[in-house]
Order: sequence, then structure tokens, then C-alpha cells
Amino acid sequence: MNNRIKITFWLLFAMFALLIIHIGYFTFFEADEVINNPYNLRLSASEGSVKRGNIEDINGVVLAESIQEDNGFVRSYNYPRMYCHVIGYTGVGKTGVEAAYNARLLDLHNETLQKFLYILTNKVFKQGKFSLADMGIYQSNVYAADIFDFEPPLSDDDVLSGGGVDADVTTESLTETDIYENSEIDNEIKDIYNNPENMQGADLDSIANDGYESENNFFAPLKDGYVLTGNTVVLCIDNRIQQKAFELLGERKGSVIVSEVDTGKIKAMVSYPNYNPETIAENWEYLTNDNENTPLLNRAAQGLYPPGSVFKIGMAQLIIDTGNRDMTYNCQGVNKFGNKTLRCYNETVHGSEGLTDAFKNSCNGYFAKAGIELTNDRLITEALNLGYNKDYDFPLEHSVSVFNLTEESDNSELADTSIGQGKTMTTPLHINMITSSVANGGTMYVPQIAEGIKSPSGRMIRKFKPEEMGVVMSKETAAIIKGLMREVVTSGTAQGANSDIIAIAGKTGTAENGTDNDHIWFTGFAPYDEPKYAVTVMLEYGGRSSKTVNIAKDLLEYIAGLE
Amino acid sequence: MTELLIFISKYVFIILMFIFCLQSKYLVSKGRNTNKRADEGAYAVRLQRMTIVLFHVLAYATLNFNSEIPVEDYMVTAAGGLVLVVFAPVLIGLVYNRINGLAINCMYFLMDISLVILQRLDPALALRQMVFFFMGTAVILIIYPILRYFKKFYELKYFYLIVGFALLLVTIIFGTNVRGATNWIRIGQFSFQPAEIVKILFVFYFASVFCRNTDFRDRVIQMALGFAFVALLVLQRDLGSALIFFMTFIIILFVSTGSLFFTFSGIGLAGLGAVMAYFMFSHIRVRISAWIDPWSDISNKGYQISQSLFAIGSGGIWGSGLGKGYASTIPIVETDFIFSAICEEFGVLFAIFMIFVYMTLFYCGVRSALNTRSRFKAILASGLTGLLCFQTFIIIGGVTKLIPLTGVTLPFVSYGGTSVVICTVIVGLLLWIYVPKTEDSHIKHGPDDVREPVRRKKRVRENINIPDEAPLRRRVRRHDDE
Repeated sequence: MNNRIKITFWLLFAMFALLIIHIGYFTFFEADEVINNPYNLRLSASEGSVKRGNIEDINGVVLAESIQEDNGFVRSYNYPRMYCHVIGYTGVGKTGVEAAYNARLLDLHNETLQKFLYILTNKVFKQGKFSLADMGIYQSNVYAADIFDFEPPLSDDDVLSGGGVDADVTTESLTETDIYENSEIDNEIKDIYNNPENMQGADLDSIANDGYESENNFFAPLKDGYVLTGNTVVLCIDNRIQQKAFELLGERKGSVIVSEVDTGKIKAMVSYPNYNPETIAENWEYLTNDNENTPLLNRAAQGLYPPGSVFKIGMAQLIIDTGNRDMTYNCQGVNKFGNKTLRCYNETVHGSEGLTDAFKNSCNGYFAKAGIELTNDRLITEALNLGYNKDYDFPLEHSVSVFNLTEESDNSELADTSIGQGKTMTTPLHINMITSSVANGGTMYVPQIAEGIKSPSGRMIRKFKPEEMGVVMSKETAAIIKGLMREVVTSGTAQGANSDIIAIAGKTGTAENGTDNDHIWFTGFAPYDEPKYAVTVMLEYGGRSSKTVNIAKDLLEYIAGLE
Repeated sequence: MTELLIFISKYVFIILMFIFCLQSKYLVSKGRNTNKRADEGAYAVRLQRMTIVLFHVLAYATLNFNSEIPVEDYMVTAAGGLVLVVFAPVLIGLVYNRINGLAINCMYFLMDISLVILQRLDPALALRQMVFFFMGTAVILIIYPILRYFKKFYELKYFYLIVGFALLLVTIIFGTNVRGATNWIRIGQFSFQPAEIVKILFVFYFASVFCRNTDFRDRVIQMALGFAFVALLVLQRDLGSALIFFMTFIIILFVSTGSLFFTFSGIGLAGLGAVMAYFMFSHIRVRISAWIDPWSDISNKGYQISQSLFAIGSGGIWGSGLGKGYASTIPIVETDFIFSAICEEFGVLFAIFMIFVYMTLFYCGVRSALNTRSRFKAILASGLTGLLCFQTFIIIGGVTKLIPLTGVTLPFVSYGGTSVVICTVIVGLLLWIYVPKTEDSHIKHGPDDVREPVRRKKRVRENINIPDEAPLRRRVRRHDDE
């Protein structure tokens, strides 16, 4: 019986071991993500005491920072409108990176040390007295004053400037006070004290005034009481590219995305109309009720549009994969499929053509025929494989592209869907992801917005890894489509993007939307030989697709010039 | 200064907890937690008690300086808790013939943690909880003479059975509904949970049945009765207790009969019942879906578990410091979710050490089961220890999302009179059963010993030269011959 008792309790104790492992695993690996939840009230509570961390671009340009004011911290954005959809806002709720990395921005690196310094400088020693300037000049007095909790009488200057918080004012005013006259400081120190620039203390003082900028001085942040500072979130975005994209898009409704093809890192993401996150609280009513312009919407990741001809990238893949590369079609400009009439752009007659010509001329008839002949179940599989109707782990607010073909759909719907019309709706970000997977040989990556986390002192403490969504096409197919997309630029619909500086490949798109002005697309990558960047430009009601082609060309040329 | 005290104290708490665990490790490995004589073991036990006192003093000092926490009843609880921790073990030592100092220390340490965290959550509850602790201590002091001089516990099986069933039936008919479960009975001002009392009767019943030889027919009948208990608890919607009762039954069945057929068929039937219950009762489906994905419905179904995980995650390894957490956001924090509050304020490391304290306590219970010569007592000790063990596991596992949440109390720590008194009584029973290894091992197994023979020859040779052998032998014989 004893053995059975032992067996039983070894099993029960193994359950407790499991419990301990589970709690440990949760604390080390899951807690960070779990606590970053709007329902966790602790985060908003710590917002009052912790200085929210900075947000920087990949080169260290500060995009957002918190500034301490009398009644707490105020969030300040250095490029408010340029980044409003990426970084988002904080205050009236949170969006964008501010929401997705809320816990990281409030997380304290070296929490024990930071809290210890904070308590020591703010709670134990009273604020303003435990200052480096004081320590440098008359050390013993500072300690004495602290120990006996002694407040030096305030001079007029002090009262006017609101107490001895500012180190410069303290130094000035204390000259006139009685304490130091009466205390037994020798003349030498008195001299130095009256001419602070003569001695070391003055240097210390100025260093201390620099505050966070002077990283060499460990005690600098202690001057006016240590401030608990959250971690910095480093974005993948390159500020220069973002700036250029912002300028190129100008005041046209639409969005521009630049990403790295073999990691999925977002290098730029701009959307217009935009808003100013600094004044969002004042303009809240207006911004939320502007249904025509919807400035709060990040069109790049949340906007759902018919993809139009850019969907033909996926169709080309389907045609190649099913071995129908040699298919030909005789385009009449206006083509009839049953009771459905499809017009090519400007009703151009393309004549008899193969895949290459059809792709570069963006012939609707060819792809509609291909779509009908390949039947809908293959189309559905293809779309799902490319990431339609499937959510992905992108930390910012985003929509999921919709593909709505069913087994019962008729030929006219099939034809519509094959040329990117019908009920298919796509986000520009998703088109960008598809372009990247063509460019990198078939792997689709989850778009990545944050490069890593930096401690307040500027050391990278965590790097995020690119995350694969899976292989969406074979290397061979990707290489063929790459060639097709290059043809589009050299001799097809996107000849405007034929640049001397950088070899661009891409695909244009015009998507009917029920108005006279079509939505226009361009998605492409460059350089053609060794693709690095994928660019997707989308303009709402833009008219002619050459506008998007020009933006993409200028942007890619600018990027080429950076390197 | 308060901030600094809180800041430093949270590390000191962990250090004290660590020291307590080291002392437990020492007492376990030396086997010195054995008797009352003023030997090295007794000294180590007293030293370990000092750790509890230090914890108590530091915790109450920290609470005193924290102006955000109400101070009503502060002195009463602080002083009363100190008296409890210092004098209750001494009293138990005086009354009980043999004590396991380690088990008592673990129990009172857990009680003290409970007082501290309740003082921080709600001082009024801490005061009441302290009264319950005193009541529990009083009860185990009072029952000892009965345990000692009434030797026929194994013959009262029909008494246990009838009273147990009656209490559960009365609960179903007259019970009050608290948070979805009909498991409270209210008599005037006084209310209690009968299921807690039935726990002890349940273990006594099956121990008295299985201490005799059972044939196939007996076992089938007993299994049916065991499932009847569980079914009554499921009817009360007290799923946590039902699970505990079932596991206790399986442990008793396996330990006493060793029949793998019955053990696994029992587990199989229970699994079948669980699947049926899943499809029959919506509240079980809600629990399961909240366990699988609490995040999709945080504001409603997943509220409790997600708030608990927020607390544990935000506290981190070192905790937020006593009084610095946001315990008010955790639902039912005084009872079911008290572990989450401890995790948040004392830190996950402290909480893991606390699990070690529980494991030490259960180890002492297992020691009682292994050392005793009486088969009845061995089964009883296994059942009672298994019961506490499983109860601790399912509530800690529940609040940390290892298993679906079922609302039971964390032994000794959760607020609640019935639970505290019953858990204390269980430890009292384990102390009563406890026989130090050195006393028992040199006694030959007589023909009246109902227990299966245990190989102890080697140890007999080792310990044969114990100095005061004769009186010990007498004492053991007197109490362990059934």
C-alpha cells in the first residue's frame, strides 16, 4: 500500500510541478502580451507616473515623445500628420503603435533600479533639493539640509519662478540667503560659489541641465528627481522614405506603402486624408463625424477596395500553376461572356495574345476567359492561398481582404472576379504583401511595423523577428511573374515607371467603382534583379493609373538615391 | 519613506519565503520534524517559526505606513495574528501527543499570508478571518481527546454515509444560491457550506469501507455511492467540489485496493459524465469557452480569468509591492482569486515559493499516511491529503488558466469560515495520524496489524539503538492498535 501512496502523490506533485512551470512560462513569455490589453486598468493607472517611452524610426529619429508639464506628461509628435495613421494617438483612447505597443511604452527597463532611483529622489529626498548642482558646490550643506528636512528661505526670485526647482535659479538665489553667509564656509568656496563658471561645479550644473541628452553623466536624470521612463519603440519605418512618400502623395486621397520584400518590414506607410493626433481631443467630434473624408481611417491597412487589374498577379499565378501558360485569346476590345460584357481599358483591341501580352496590356478579356475556363473552385483555393479572408498578425488596426466567390457562382461573376472586380475587396497592404512574395520568390511575410525595443538609455534590448505566413507560390512561378511585371514597365501599361536609375517591375490597376473616376493602383518592386523594396500606391477616384506609376517611380528613385 | 519601505519589503518578503522553504527542505531531508523532544529538529522548527513572525511583523509594518489602505481594526488583527502564529503551535504541541512541527509551521505561515493579504484587501474580513483561524485552532484542540480515546472510527461507516448524504440533500432543498452554486445553508445569522463538512465525512466513510477486504461486488457498490456524492454536488452546481470529491474517491480507491481496473473505469465513467455534462449544462460550456479563449469576450465570459491574468502578469516576478497592486480590479478577490492578488503584490516568485509551502504541507500528510501502522488511518491520511492537494491544484490552476476555472477556496488562504475550519481540522487529523518514523520502525508487525507488510528490515537494524525505546513503544502501541 505504501508504494501506491507514493505513486499517487508523486503524480499529484508532478501536477504541482506542471503548475509551477505554467506560471513561470506565463510570466516570462506570455505576460508581456497579455497585459497590453485595453481592459487592463493597470496600464492607464501607470500612465500618470511613468513617462511614456519615445517612438523612433529605424535611424533613431524621434517621432513621438512625452514632455513633462505641470499637470503630468503631454505627448508630442514631431511629424504629427505624417505618422498619424501609423503611430496613432493616445489620450482619447489609443490607436496605431501607441495602442499596439502600449505596454512596451510604459514598461520600465531595469525596473528595480528605476523605481529605486525614483523613490529615492522623489519620495525620500524632497524634490529640487537633491540636485547635482547643489551636490557639486556645497555638498555637506545639502546633506545637512536633507537630513534635518531644512528648507532654505526663498528669495523673491525663487517665489517668482515657483520654488527652487530650476537649478539655475537656485544657484542665483541662494547666494543671497543667510544660511550660507552664516555657515562656516571658507572664502575660497564662497568665491567659487559666487562665480560658478570658475569651477567644476559649473560644468556639472550644465551637464545636469542637459538632462537626458548627456548619457555620459549617470546622475544627470536625478537632478530634479528621477522620472520613471518607459521603453522606446523603434519602428521599421525610415523617416526619409516616409517623408518622401508623404510629399509625393500630397493631398490626394489614397495611400502609399513601402516594404522590404524579404522581411515584410514596413519602410513607409502614408494615408490621406490625415489628422493631427496632438489636437485630436479638441477635434474629436469633427473627425469622427466626417464620413466623407474619414481622416481617422488608415487607408493603407484598413481601406478595402476592388483590386482591379492588380488582381491579375494572382490570376497569372493560377494560369501558370495550372499549366495553361500557352493559352491565347483574341481580344476585341469589348468582349462578351454570356450575358456579361467586359471592356478593356479605353476599349483597346488587343487582338490575339498570350499571357505575356495580356498581362502587360492588362487585357480583361484574356483573364476573364482564363478565370472561366479554370472554374471557380481553383480560383477560390488560389485566393485563400494568397491570404484572402484570412487574418494576419499585423499589430496595427487592419482589415481582412474579402473574396466572395462560391461554388454556385455563374460565369459572369467568375469573369468579374477574374479581373479583380466583382465582390473582391483588398487592402493596399495585402496587395503589397502579394507583391513582396512575388519579388522574394514566393514567401509571404506578416507585415512588421516595429523593429525592436530600446531602453531609455538607447540600448536595443529586444529585436522582433520577421514572421512568415507561408509559401504562397513556387520559386519558378514567382520568377515568371517577376518577368511579366518587368514587361509591364518596359513595354506595357506602366512605361512611365521605366527609370534609368533603378529597374522597376510592377503592375497597374484601374478598378471600377460606380463613378466616372476609377480607383487606381500601382504595385511593384525594385530593383528588378535583386528585389529589395515593394511599393504599393493606391489613389481613390484617381482617374488615370499613370499618377500612381509616377509616385512609385519617384519614390523608388529616391530610395535608390539614399543608398 | 513609505515608498522605500514598500519597495524594500517586497524583496524581503521573497527572501523570508525563500528562507522558510530552505528551512522546510532542511527539516524534510533530516527527518528532524519528528517529535517534541528538545533536539535539533525542535530547535529548527522554532527557528522556522521565527521566520513566520518576521514576515508577520514586516508585513503589518508595511501595511501600517501605507496611507492608502484603511487602518480600521488594524491593531487587533496585527496583534491577534502574532498571538496566533506564536502561541497556537505551542498549544497544539501541548495537547497533541506527537506533532509534526513542519506541518504546523506551513499551516500557520499560510494563515499569516492570508491575514496579511486580507488586511490589505479588506481589513474587516481580515479580522473575521483571524477569528476563524482561532476557531479552527480551538476545534483541533478540542477534537483531539475524542480522536485519542474513541478508537472505533472505522466502524461508523453508516453514520458517515447517512449524515453526508443528508447534509448534501438538505443543501439542495434549503440551500442559498451564491454566485451560481447552491451550496450555502443559512440559519439565522449563521451560514456555512455543508459540502465542506461532507468532505471529511466522505473520506471517513470510504476509509472505513476500504480498510477491510472488499470483493468485486463491494467495489461496484462503493463506486456507485461515490458517484452519487459527486452527482449531488453537480446538482448544486458546485463543480469544483464535485471534482475534488471525485479525485479523492479515486485516490482512496487506488491506494486501498490497487485495482487499476476500478481506478481507470472510474476515471472513464467520470470522463463520460463530464462530456455529458458539457452538452447538458450551459454554465459548463461557458466555463470551458472562457478557458480556451478568454480574450474574445473579455467584458463578459472571460472577465474573471482575464482580470486574474492581468494581475499576475502585471505583478511580474518581483511583484508590485504590498498595497501597490490594483486588487480592486480582480473579481472575487477575497476567496477564489486571492492567489492572483498574492501574485500581483508579492510577485510570482513568492507565489511559487508559496506553492512549495503547500507541497511541504502535503508531504507531511503523505508522511502520516506512510508511517502509520493502521490501514484505516493510512487510507484516511491519503484521502485527506489528496483532497487538500487537489483543491489547491484546481484553484491555482484555475486562476492561472492552466485548467478551466472552478470556484473553490485556496486552503487556509481564501477568506471563509467553513473552509478555514475544515482545512484546519484536516491538518489536525493528519497530526493525529502522524507517527514519527523512528518510533514506528522498530516495532514488529503483529498479527493484529491490518496493514499489508512493509519492508522495513534495513531501517530496523539502523534504528535499533534508540535510547528511550520502551516508553515510545508503549505510546505507539496504545494509539495505533485498531
